[in-house]
Amino acid sequence: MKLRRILLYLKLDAKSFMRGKTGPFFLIVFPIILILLFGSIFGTSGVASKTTLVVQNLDPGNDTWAIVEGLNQTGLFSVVVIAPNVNISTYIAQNSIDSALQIPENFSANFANGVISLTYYSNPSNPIASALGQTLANDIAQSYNSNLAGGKSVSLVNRPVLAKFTKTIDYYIPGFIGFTILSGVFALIYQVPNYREKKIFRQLSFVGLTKSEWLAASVIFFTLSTFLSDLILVGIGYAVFGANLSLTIRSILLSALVIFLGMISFLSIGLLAGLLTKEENSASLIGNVIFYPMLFLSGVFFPISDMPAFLQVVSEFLPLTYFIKALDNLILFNDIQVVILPIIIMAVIAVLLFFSASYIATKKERL
Amino acid sequence: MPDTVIKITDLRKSYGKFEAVKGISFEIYRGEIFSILGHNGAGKTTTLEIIEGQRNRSSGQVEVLGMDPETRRTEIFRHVGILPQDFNFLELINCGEAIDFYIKSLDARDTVDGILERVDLLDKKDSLIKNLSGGEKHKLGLGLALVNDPEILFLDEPTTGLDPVARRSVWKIIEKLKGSGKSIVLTTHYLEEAQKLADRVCIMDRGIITITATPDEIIHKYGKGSVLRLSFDEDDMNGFLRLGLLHRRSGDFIEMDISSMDEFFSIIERFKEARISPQNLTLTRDTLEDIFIGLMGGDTNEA
Repeated sequence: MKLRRILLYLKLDAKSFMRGKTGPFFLIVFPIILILLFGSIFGTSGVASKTTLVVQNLDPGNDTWAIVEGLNQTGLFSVVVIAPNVNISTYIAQNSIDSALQIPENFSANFANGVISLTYYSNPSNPIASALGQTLANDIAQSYNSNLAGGKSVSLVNRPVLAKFTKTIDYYIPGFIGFTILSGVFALIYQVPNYREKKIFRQLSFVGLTKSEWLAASVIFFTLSTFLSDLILVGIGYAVFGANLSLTIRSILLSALVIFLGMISFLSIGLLAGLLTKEENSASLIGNVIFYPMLFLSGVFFPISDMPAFLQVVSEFLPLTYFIKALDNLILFNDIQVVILPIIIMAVIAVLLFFSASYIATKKERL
Repeated sequence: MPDTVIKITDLRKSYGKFEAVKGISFEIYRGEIFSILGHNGAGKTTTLEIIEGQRNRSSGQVEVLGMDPETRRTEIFRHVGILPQDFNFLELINCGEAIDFYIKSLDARDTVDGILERVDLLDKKDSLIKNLSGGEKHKLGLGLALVNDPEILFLDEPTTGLDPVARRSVWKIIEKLKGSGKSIVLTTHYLEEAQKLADRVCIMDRGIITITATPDEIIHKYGKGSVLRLSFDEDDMNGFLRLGLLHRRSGDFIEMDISSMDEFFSIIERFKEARISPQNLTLTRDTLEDIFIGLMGGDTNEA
């Protein structure tokens, strides 16, 4: 691979991209639309003040009201208490409630035996509210445990990581970035059959530009353009919706590495898919078959923990899953230790995909 | 002895059970224009792509400037220029940028303006490729092929789809290139083009080479010679018949096969002596196209 040739093509490709109608739209306008749209729906204010939590206490004992009081005291919820005789499922359905906590009738009795039993209702399509509600409910239960149970030990599985959020928009930003990077699949899936049909690859090979160099130039170009669009995205998140990410020099640099590795993976997938596509028309079908399952199964917008067990297994095989895991921990929690393994996995996937795609593309061209 | 720049020996190429090229051999010499003709599917583009290093062969030997294109493709690209069939490039790049990319990538010495001038495209330097006409696009393709000042130029149907004016404009450029000593391998659908430009022609049919010779040799060997076509008024017709010349009727016309120009002048002299005046006199000679149709028994559009 020759860096000079890569850079020369990169310059040419960038000019061509920027003169197109769709390129600048997806680079600049689309991220703005995306964050304005999602931000307006979900992220105009803090999670705590917005999330309504319906609580139904079926336990006649006075002690259980401490839970309700605890939830109120967090200041993160709008707690709505409903009477024990109300059918909670009907109430949730009729009032479009996303999160509800039911303290069962035998809570105190079970607690005496060292068991905490709370029923939590959540709308899976609102992962923020449900996840946050569940976590905080656990916190309250833990607090209740500590204060009232004395020496009794009641363990709770969840830790309140999501309580670090100050805004819903924060939770969505890694997903938006994941979305822009996953779009790289589409960047090449259309370009490859188009270039093949017009024999542009052949024309480029006359100056010695190899498929690997072409792919490398595409990776650099789309990584830089994604940085730019993500910068716009985060900027609007901050300026309009008051986003508050854990951005440090280290987390930004590691995020850049993650975006770069993600770009290699998704552009390579796009190249491989483009090689399977005979014509541009079928590219969108193949692109969608790759894009949407990956988008929904990788934790971009819905937590993987909410999925059925078999889908959770599937998500482990998707590169975007590691991308989201890494980015979540970097820009939401600045938790470097946790991202090392996902980054290593992403690097391995990126290298494998890059070389497979380059090899197959070169082989396929010369038969 | 001419200097050989391309040597093909017993070249074969199969796609599964289908054998597209069936053991062909030929040589191309320095400074000549060598044209490959044949129907669609005759194997000419496959042959060309193997020579260019775009495609691997099944067996046989290929040498381009003494190098095997299968193993030394990149090196060969430094010495050859290729104008592929249906040339295309990034559509939103202008002509100057495309040439500049080639010059820098190939470390060529030429300038953008110099190349554009050679292909008569200087006034289109800032035009986007998508806005070029068919002829201008072909000229740009030719310009890109010339960037590295190649020893051999491969022109795969350089004028297909162009109007007659644009076609002649490309021919002029090719003729100029020939004058500069470059070897040119030309495939074309237009037999008139091969006849006008090529020093030697090779006709391929179903994967084999049927003829390799100069256009004149082919016409001389396979053509019917020249045909004198004329007509007479009623009185002169009787006079003509009295001369007893071998002829045939073609509607209102008389046709006579002429083997040489001496024979032609001798016949004209006899008309004068007999005081007869031929009308609508034309002398036509077989073209490469006539020969091709005769040999292939097909439509020239598929050449």
